[in-house]
Amino acid sequence: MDTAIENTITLEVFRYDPNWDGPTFQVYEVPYRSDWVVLDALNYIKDEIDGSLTYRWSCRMGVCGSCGAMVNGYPKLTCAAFLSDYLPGPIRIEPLANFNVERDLVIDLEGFIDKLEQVKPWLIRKDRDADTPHSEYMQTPAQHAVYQQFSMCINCVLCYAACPVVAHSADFIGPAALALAERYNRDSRDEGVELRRDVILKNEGIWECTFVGECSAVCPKHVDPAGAIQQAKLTGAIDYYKRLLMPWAQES
Amino acid sequence: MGTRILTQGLRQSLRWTWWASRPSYFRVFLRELSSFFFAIQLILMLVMFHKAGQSAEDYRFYLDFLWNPGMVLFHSVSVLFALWHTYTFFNLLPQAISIRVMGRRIPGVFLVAPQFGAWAVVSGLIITWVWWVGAA
Repeated sequence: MDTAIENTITLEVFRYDPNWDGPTFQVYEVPYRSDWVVLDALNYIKDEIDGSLTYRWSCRMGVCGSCGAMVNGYPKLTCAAFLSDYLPGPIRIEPLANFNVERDLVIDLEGFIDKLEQVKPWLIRKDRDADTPHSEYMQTPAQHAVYQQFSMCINCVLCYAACPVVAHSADFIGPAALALAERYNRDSRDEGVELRRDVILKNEGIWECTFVGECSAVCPKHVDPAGAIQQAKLTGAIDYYKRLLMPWAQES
Repeated sequence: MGTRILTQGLRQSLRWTWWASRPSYFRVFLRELSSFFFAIQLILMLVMFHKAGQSAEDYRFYLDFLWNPGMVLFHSVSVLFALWHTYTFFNLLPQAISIRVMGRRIPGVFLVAPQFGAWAVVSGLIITWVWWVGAA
């Protein structure tokens, strides 16, 4: 193999500027290092080749969830996608699918934030103001374990990019927001199940999910949003029949 | 992927062949497509009940129709779809149901294995019954 080819790798990066006519792919040749991830290669392009390349990143350690992109067609955190896994290249980098693109690899997250707010992903208490608690809300390890997996979400939205239902129905609340709703509904300290019910059970909520399961497959934190949604469906169905058959039980 | 310009920016859109773009999508597509075959089978079965209620001759004529090569092929394909749907359904159950014992979620195999076991037992009983009726 040619030495020059061994030491470099080709990146085909999606470029889009709203002031231009349309998107294009720009080809960059970057040094290949076995310990480099795609984000390192993007930073190299930004620093050494083309300062106009625009993308989000922050922690570089799979915590902030801001560096997501489509890497060879699959949603990935670019800080966790090693160049060595894509040899010999080229590697095609695109913005996350199913989102509007603002510029290059930067997507518009406004719709996602709106969906997130709809499910009220915070502790809701009936007895007192949760913002100014007078004491700790106690919880046992067993109670914590019930929702712990669903609380690992870093809002990287890779699950939205992988979900064909999101692609076809822009109003679908989506995997991450529904998993977070389930996370708070399962929290023993929370009393907001009733307030989230309408959003979760509406047509664009859990029942729109067809259990493709790709959201769980791409989740870098193993949150299993598909599992959360199916479990919410089961809970929702049981609650429906309870309300139908035992309306007095709901009133008490 | 095709692209289209929106006022808020650029939006990449799925091609109609999206279901063939990834093995995982294709597996789900086949799972959902199985519903079509189940629906047709249900209709054929309802027609069979209807014919059985009319006359022995109608019923026999309908059974002959079901033995034509096209129908045999359709039912053979339907069986494959039924097996695939059942296999995927059984394997997805641990994701859809969370059962906790002593504070720990029980492993998925404890939900999957009983389903396959029950499937084997019920299939065995049906095969035995059919064999017994045929021999009698």
